Amino acid sequence: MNRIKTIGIRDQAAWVRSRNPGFHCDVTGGLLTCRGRLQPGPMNATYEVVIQYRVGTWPKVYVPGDQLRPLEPGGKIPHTYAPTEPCLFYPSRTSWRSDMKLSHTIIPWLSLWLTFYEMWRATGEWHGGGISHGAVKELEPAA
Amino acid sequence: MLLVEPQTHTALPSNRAEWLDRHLARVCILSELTAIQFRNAEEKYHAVGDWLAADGSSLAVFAPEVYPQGSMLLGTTVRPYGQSEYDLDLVCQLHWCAQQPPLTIYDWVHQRMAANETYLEMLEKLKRCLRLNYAGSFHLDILPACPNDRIGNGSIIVPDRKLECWKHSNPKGFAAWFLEQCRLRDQLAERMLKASVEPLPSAVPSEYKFPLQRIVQLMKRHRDIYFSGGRDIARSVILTTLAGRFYGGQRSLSLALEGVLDGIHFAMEATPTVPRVENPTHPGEDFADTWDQAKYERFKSYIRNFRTELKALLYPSLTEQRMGLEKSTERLGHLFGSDRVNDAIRIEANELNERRNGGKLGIAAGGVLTAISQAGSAAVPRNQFFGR
Repeated sequence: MNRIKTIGIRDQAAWVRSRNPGFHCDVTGGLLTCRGRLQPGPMNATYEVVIQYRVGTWPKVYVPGDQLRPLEPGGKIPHTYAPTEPCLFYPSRTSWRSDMKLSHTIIPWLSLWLTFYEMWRATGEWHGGGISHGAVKELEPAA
Repeated sequence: MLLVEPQTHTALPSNRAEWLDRHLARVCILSELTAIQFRNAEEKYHAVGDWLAADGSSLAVFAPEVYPQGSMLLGTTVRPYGQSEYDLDLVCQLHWCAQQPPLTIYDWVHQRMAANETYLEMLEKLKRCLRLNYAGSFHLDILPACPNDRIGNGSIIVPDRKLECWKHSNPKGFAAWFLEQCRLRDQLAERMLKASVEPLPSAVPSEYKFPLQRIVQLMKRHRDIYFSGGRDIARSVILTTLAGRFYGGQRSLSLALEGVLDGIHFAMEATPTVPRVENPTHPGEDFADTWDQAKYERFKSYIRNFRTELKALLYPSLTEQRMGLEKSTERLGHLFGSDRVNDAIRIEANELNERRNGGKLGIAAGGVLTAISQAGSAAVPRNQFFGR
């Protein structure tokens, strides 16, 4: 089996910055935090987003505050862990690995997620596909 | 039922007008005859023509000829709001018959149609035309007509509403004028038309549409919703004439529509009293001859409303922009009906998923989704959103 060539935290930060010049990245105690704005397409709103990642864990994304809203008060937003936390990928060793660049996976997946989120807000239907919680046990992160 | 867009776009829309162009085209495609329905309707009316002209037909001596008029000829069909059946209008033109009273001609055509068992079962006598009901898909309204030899050039005479006298009409001439307007300022379209369609006006299947045809479809669709079946509903021929007159030839559908609505709006704001809407191929005939001040005001407010909504879609306020697709979809729903708009969004989502699954989705700097062919874009690997 091929060994995975883990990308170091500072290289991850560099890739995020070079692909997204408006993003601010900061590494503290091995935890990378990137903040920036995403507008997935011309009809979409612009969102403030936060990405957090530590080598050996799954990357996490947040859309803080009340930028994401359920259809009715107290309702659920599809494919989220929490109202501010979209689930971008099925946590398995094949869907995201530490040799992948956040800038080439997590950020575009978040753009895609936001696109489908807005379609869902507009029509009440989730068109983005995906896998449901509950069908699988939480898996160990691939590091 | 979902339909596939005939046009394939390599790039994703990069501004609001481009997004609207595609969305509006999808709304039209969802509202019009599909290519299969179109060909089916064509076969049906050819068969009617053959039956009327067949040996042994009492009408054979008049050399009857059946051809489409109105939206089927112009390529501007729109399914009536809230209905599943299309209205398709046909002319049954006889020859050497202008000396007969309209009622006689109408009865002759009816007798011949009723002599066919299949037609008899679905035949319905309407005021001045005969209707064939093809349940669930469309009905064909057949209007008997005679040539108008005084004018020629495709001119015909048709019964008036009460079958008492003959009235001038020229559906072929009107279609020729309309297609001329379609091509007028669009060089590319002209080339396409030369390559694909005969130069004479002919029924245009749904795969080939000019922006002006789409504009008329959108105006009819919003008209159906705005007037919601009221008695003072604006006639399609008025919408078609005004759209043709004010079309500026913009390549973008949404910007061309904006131009048409601007043109009509400013012309009407400058005209406080009821104007004439002249038949471009028969000056002297006023399509708006049934308008009174109240109907005219209603028409003006329909145009004003359409224009305001479209401008807000193209040039949203900052607050609206922050509300994203949701607000735009709401406005589009007001204009064209939310069912149709939601279906168009579903088609857009399907396209996006096809790109995604085919490895053809890219991301440009700043997180903007784009096509993989675009310079500076990186391919987006496949993912599965997780969670309930």
